[in-house]
Amino acid sequence: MKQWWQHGSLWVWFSASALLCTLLLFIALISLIVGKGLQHHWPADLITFQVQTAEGGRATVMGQLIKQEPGNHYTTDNQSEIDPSLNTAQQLLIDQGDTWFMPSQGATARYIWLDDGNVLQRSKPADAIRLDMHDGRVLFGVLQSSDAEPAIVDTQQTAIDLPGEPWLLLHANGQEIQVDTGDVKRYHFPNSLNGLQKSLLFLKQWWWFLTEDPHHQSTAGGVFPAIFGTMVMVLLMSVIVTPFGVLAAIYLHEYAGKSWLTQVVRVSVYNLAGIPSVVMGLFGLAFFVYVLGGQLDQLFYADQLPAPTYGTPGLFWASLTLALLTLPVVIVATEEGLAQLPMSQRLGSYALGATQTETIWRIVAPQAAPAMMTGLILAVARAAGEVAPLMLVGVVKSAPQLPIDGEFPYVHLERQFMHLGYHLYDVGFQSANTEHAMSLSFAVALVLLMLIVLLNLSAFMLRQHLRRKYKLVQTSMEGV
Amino acid sequence: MMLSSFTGRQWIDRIARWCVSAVGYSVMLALAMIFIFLLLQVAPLFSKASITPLAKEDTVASSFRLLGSVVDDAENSTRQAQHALKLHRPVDFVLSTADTLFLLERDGRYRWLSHQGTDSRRLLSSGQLDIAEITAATMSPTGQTLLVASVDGRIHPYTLLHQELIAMQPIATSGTQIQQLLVQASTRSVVSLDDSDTIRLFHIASGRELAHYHWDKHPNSLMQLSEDEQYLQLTAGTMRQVVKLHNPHPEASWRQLVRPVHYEGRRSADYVWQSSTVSDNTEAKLSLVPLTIGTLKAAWYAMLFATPLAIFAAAYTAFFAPVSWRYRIKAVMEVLESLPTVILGFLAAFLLAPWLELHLLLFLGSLIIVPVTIMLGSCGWFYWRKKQQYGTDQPSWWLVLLSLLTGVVLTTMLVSNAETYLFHGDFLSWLANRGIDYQQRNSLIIGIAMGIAVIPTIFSLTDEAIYHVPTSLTQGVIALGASRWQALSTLILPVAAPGILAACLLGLGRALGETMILLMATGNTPLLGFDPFQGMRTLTATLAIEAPEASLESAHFRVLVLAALLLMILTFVVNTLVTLLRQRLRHRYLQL
Repeated sequence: MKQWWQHGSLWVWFSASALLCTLLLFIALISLIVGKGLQHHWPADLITFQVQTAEGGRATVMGQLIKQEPGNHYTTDNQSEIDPSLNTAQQLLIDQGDTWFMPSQGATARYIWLDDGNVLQRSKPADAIRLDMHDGRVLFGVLQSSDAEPAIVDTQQTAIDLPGEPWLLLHANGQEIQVDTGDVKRYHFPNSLNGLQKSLLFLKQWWWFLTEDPHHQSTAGGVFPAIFGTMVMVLLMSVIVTPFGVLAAIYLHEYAGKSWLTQVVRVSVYNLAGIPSVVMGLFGLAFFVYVLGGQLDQLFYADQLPAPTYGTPGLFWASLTLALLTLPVVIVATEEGLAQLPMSQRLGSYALGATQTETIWRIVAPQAAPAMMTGLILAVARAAGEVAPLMLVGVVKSAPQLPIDGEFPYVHLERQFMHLGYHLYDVGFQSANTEHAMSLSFAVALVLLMLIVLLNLSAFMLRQHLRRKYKLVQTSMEGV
Repeated sequence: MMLSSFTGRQWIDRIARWCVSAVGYSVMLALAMIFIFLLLQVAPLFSKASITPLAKEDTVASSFRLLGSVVDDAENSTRQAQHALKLHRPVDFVLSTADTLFLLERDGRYRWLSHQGTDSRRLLSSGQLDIAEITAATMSPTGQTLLVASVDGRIHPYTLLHQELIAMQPIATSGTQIQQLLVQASTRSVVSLDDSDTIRLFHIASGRELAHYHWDKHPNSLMQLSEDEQYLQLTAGTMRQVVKLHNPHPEASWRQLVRPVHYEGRRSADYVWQSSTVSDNTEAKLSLVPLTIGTLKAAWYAMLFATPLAIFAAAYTAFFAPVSWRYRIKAVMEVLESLPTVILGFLAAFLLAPWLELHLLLFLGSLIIVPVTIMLGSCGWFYWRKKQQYGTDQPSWWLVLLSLLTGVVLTTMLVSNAETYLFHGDFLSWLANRGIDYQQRNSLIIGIAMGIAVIPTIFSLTDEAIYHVPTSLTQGVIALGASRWQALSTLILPVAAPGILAACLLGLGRALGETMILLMATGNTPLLGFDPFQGMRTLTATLAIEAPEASLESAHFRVLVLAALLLMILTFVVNTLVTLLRQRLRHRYLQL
């Protein structure tokens, strides 16, 4: 025992399990987001449940099975005293589509819990239809009227432009709903789709999700404005941050001598990377929006006062704030690239009679370009994932207009915009219909995650490639 | 020709140098400006209040309306009260607000009545104040605060709460007898006029003297406030003097920001953050203490979760794992580091929090059982390998994974039984019976979620520090017969210690400045104390929530800027320490 203790095998095991834990956590996290995010658009089967009610009667519920878990969600009226025997009963969460508009009868909640023990029979009727309405409602049921014969309707067809007789939809609770075909945005028969058709529909749903506007307090529709807003903001930020960051790095590394002052400045700039982003947001709000924006308004938009034009949070201020936030990232990465270039190359250039500017322009900058690129990508990745500062300087839940449109002057820097990260915060938090919002949030999170991971991985690859390349240069130089 | 082209190139060189330097300077300046600008925003918070006399002509020019005639008012209400209550003798002080009437005698006896309409009066309470002799009294227009001056020159504020008078901290003045008190309601301040004809302005809740002004030798003078409460008129006979009360931010001083303060409408002095008030009648309570404690608490639990995991994992990656693994693991960590915290916050708030509420015992149990299983696994493995005369340094990863999973499965089995038999089937209600309140969004959630955000930061730096220890050291020790762990613990960790410390500090810096996770998964209630099952409200989350709503010039906004400045300085100091430590480490490695 003592030998084992002294040898330290225990600690090796602990450190190995710490690593495994971390990696497992990471894998669980990513797979959770990916899994749940993808699930949101998967055309799930519509299942009809024959349920025994508490009074002994029978009821029918049709919908998508969201999840199944052992639990005590609806066991007894007394919450604190839970019968352990009931804990084993499976609970099913069913999405039965929107029912709020129906006259009183039946369950009014979209999501309901069923006790598995009460389910007498499950079936998947092939003619079950899912209707997505223009007003955001989702309806499940079976078509009754004659002119939309389920057998003939193309299951992949999704946009209806045939006006005609209103359809009669039989909902599972026995009510017949009249549906105007003009109100139907899309429909499909999930139970009669085969795997390939489902996959195609899945891809289509993703496409719609990425390209459509959100509606109904962001609980329905797509996320296009959020993606667009994020992109435009990040692009604008890059335009601002790149020249300043790169030139500042060149100044620090090539021009400013090696005095202690330079060292202090360098350390301070590096440390600015660690300043909480929300602090930068507050600075953006106080200085850019209130001070600069207020001044701009008084100078150029005095006729519109007191309605502020630039004196209110907006796209330009958000980009500027994030540029300030990511400036250290670009400076650090660029300086790293500059430092990796061997001094001998600069000396060689000088020896051939080149001035310092020519050396930097022709020799140093081109070789450090990938490092600058890396810095920019890292900055973009950070900016795309930041939410807290944006909450102060211009992001909104839903923007009526995109920051770029066909209206003169085409680019509207003063407009507020939507952002993927904030959209996730908003959808997750503000939405009343939590189950639905959860599922939607995962889809949004997946989009955001993909964006960030792609950006970061490319930066990582670029940097690794760069390091290897310069290692080669250095070793070959040493060989000489 | 040669010469001119040469000078041309030189010019270009020079201009380029100027331009680049100019950009470099401007960037540095801009970054320095952030700090200066924020400081300038905070500074007015601590500017002094003042009482300045207005010249005669200004008085005439500044047309302000007085808040009625004090003398008439008092006499009127006294007469009214006497009439209505059929009092037999005059009452010394009659204080009235919109719906209450407070009758006070010089010896401290009081009667407190509510009056709705003109003649329906009801006695709310009566009693005796613990004051020997009262020289002056007044009441705030909202009727929430009663101020009484005693004969020794002190002002005793009382807050009226549920028909009860609660004494607040007495305000010590110069000791001269006070003739008259007036409440400046908008700033929660009181103006006193004493026998030495000095006007003093106090903030009621904190008892701080804000400013004073001496009016020369005019006995029996009277004060009147203007309607906007900006001016004060002093009259003594025919003499008249108007002074301006400049009282910009009475609700914020160091004392109020960091000490417990007894606010009106509360039972005792406390640290309160309540910036956005329900109505104008309640004052903003701006104590930074609960927020700072929230920030520290969140960072503490995150570090508690992240530090052991990250350091152990990094030690394994840098020292035990094959080099080919190291790059892959580092890539994974890099991705993990860049994970937007809003995603982590979302997962923590909507998945982890409900899950942990159901499986709290499982989580707590696994904290004990899993390490024990790993310990047993390691022990068994060690003696098995020894018996077989294999090397005993490196367990294969799947063995470790196996014991880890065994631990988890074991915990699941044990916990469901334990919960049924030990805790009557429900751990949370068992806790609740013992007075432990479990909030769904609590510090454990934050510890895990923010821990995940911080792990990669600590991991990367620790890994670098351990990996770059010169190999000659390790080889030497191992050649002398030490196991790899012994080499690590006795030699490498001490050498790399500054680097590991730097890693932890950097992680701490990140935890202090994190916003979205805290915004989403803490519940955002400003609480004191370090209870793991309770939430918190942090500085960063408060900034994110409240800054867009605070108006630019208000004390609230300035206090928020102060909080931001505090965070900025804190992280700056932490990061500077990190840089210094890392430099020292590099120096040490060069020496070795």
